[in-house]
Parts: sequence; structure tokens; C-alpha cells
Amino acid sequence: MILILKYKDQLRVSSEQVADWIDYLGGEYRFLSGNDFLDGNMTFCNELDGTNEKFVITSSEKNREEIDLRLVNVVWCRGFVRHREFTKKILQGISSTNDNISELKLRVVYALRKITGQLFARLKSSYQLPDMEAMKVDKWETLKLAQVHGIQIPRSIVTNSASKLLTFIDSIGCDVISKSLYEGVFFNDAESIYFFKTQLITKSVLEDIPESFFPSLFQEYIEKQYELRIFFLEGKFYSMAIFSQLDEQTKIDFRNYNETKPNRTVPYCLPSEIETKLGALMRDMNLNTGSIDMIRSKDGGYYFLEVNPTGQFGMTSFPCNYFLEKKIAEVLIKEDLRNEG
Amino acid sequence: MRDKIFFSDKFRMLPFFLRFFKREAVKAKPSNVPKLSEVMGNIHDEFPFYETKLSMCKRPKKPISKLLHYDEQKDF
Repeated sequence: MILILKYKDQLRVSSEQVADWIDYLGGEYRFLSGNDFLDGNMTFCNELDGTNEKFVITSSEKNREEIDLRLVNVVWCRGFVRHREFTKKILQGISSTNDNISELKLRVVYALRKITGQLFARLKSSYQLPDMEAMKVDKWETLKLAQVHGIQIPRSIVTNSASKLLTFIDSIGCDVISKSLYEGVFFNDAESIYFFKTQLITKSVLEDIPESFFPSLFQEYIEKQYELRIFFLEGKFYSMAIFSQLDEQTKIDFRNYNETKPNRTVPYCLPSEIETKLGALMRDMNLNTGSIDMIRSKDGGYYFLEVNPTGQFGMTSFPCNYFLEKKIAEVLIKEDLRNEG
Repeated sequence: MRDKIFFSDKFRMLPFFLRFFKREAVKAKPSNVPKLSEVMGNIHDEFPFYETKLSMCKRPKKPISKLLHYDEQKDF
């Protein structure tokens, strides 16, 4: 059986489309979302009886039928629990000091990690897309590893010092961008949503910045011809070029979507040398899938930016006619049959 | 004047990228249907998928991350 781990109410049409293909191709799958344990829609019971571990979860789907984890041959992980959504419910209406509230939130998240850790440990022997341990990608470590494999990366620095940053800018001879070392984030209140995207930092921006700040990631700003979004699946690359450079709104970060005139996106064939290097990088990271971001610079270089093991693939699949949903379903079914035998 | 965010006074103690944000108004329309319409749709609901001169394919505008009342559904 294929187990699809996902966020509750996840707006990822692509996951549903893969499930449709699994159905069509004759595979068997179940969805599982971490929120179901927490909302009480699902029973979670892990017992040590002195000899064995007895782990039973009962799904809210299909009339509270038990999911026998021993029958899970394949796990496709698209997410599990959004800590933020879950803790929001807990913290709603609580009145205490900020310190107490943030400590409570932290403790709940830690406990949650332990619980999901038990489930993931139980699924360890299954085929996983991607491997759940390998999913914990660190941006900086990935950049280091890309360097080792001879893949060009933007020169990068993590510093808390404005003068060190200025020296870095002088040494590379161009502006830099600031990025999150972790994942992107947004905040919202009743009236507004606040987005944080990649930002160009010029020397003039730094004039208003104090000498010391929080240690942060800065990278050389690469003038690009176009951006590349590459979906990797079991050794194969499905690439797409995004012509974001031609639009002032999207040239720094294509996620500043221009809804009136969206960026042009076309299928792209990576040079085999780049594919070989990227393949070696993914192998080293023990990643059998992921969405890779790269830049083709104006001088023809290929710059690796980052890889997201559970990145979106619909945005590459549809414009490029790659039918990735079908290809993923085929991989999952193949592994399910192989592990059953 | 530059927009402020609730942690604007703490920029020095926060990761640098948090200084640069883009504020967008929440696209939620008022409705007299209690509870259902008070739930805001996921912010990704209205992101375009792709659109070219030859084809147009957008993510569904219907905020599927929330339940819609019958009257609301007619808008989509």
C-alpha cells in the first residue's frame, strides 16, 4: 500500500492528481495527515508491552478503518503537520505573558515532533519519496556540497556585521541579495498579509543599517538570462526555464508574481554535464526527488541556488507537458509492487 | 513612508531578510453567512498558475481550503 502523507486541507492540487493516477493505474493508496491525530479525528496508539511495540492508528477516512502500518510499502511525503496552524488553535484566547505563550508554543511543537518521529520511525523500512531523514535539508550545507561537486553557486556569506558585508560586496564587485537561511515565511492579520521574498541589497541600503545585526545569509546577485526550476525524480530531470528577468517585478524573485503578465515558462534541456553533477549532489544528499532552483547567468553559467525535497511540481508539469503526476504515480506503484513481493 | 510591521522596532535582533516585506491587503469579502465566511481562504488560493497568449490555465479561484456556502459558490 502507498501512504500519502500530507497537510490537512492542503491546497496542492498536484497531490490529488497523483492520487487520481494511482487509482487509474490500479494502485492502492491512503492519505494520512498529522492534524487528524491532533484534532481527535484519528486514534493514535503506540504501546510497548515489554517485548514489542504495538502501533495502531485509526483513520478518520473510510469509516474509521485502521491503517495497518505493516502493509505500507511506500510513503510519499508531501507534508504532515503545519505547526503554525495547529498551535494557533491552542493559543487562541489564551491570556498570559508573551514569554509564557511562546514557551507553550515551543513545547507543543517539540512534543509534536516526538510524536511524528515515532510514526516516521515505524515507516523506516518502506520506500520513501523523498527519504524522510534526507528531507531535513540545510541551505548552507547544500551550497557547500554543491561546491564539492563542482557546481557553480553564488558567492555567499553569513554575517552579523555591516562592515564585513561591505567588504564582501567590494570583493565580489556586485550587489548582494538577502535570503532566509530557513524556509520562507509570511505573517498576516485581519487586513494584511506580509510576504518576504529575496531582496536586493545595495551599498546604499546598508547606510541605514547598524554595524551589528542578526547573523544572516547574503549571496552575490547574479544577473540572469532566466531562472530554472528542475524537478528531479529517481535520476531523471524535468526542467523548465522561467523568463523572469524581463520583468522588473519578477527579476529578483519570480515569486513576486506578475498576475497581469505572467512570466513565460518553457521546457528546458539541461546540459548533460550539469545533470551529472546535480545527480551526484542529489545522491550525496540521499534525495530521490526534489525541486531544484538554478539561474542561467548572462555570461552563460549555471548557478545552483537550492533544492526543496517536497517542492511543488505542478508549476513545472503543466506548462511543460511533463505529466509528472503520472510519472510519480508510476514510481510509487512500481516500488509498492517491488516491496510487496 | 515605509510600511511598518509588528516587529519593525526589533529588526536589529531579527534575520536580515525580515526587514524587507511586501504588504498585500487580505482578499476576503464580507458575508452574512456566519462562521463559514469568516474563515479566510488559503493565501495561495488565488495565485495564477500560468497564462500565455495561446492558453490560459489558472489555479482555481475558488478558495477550496474553506467551505463555501451555496450563494458563495455561484461566484466561481
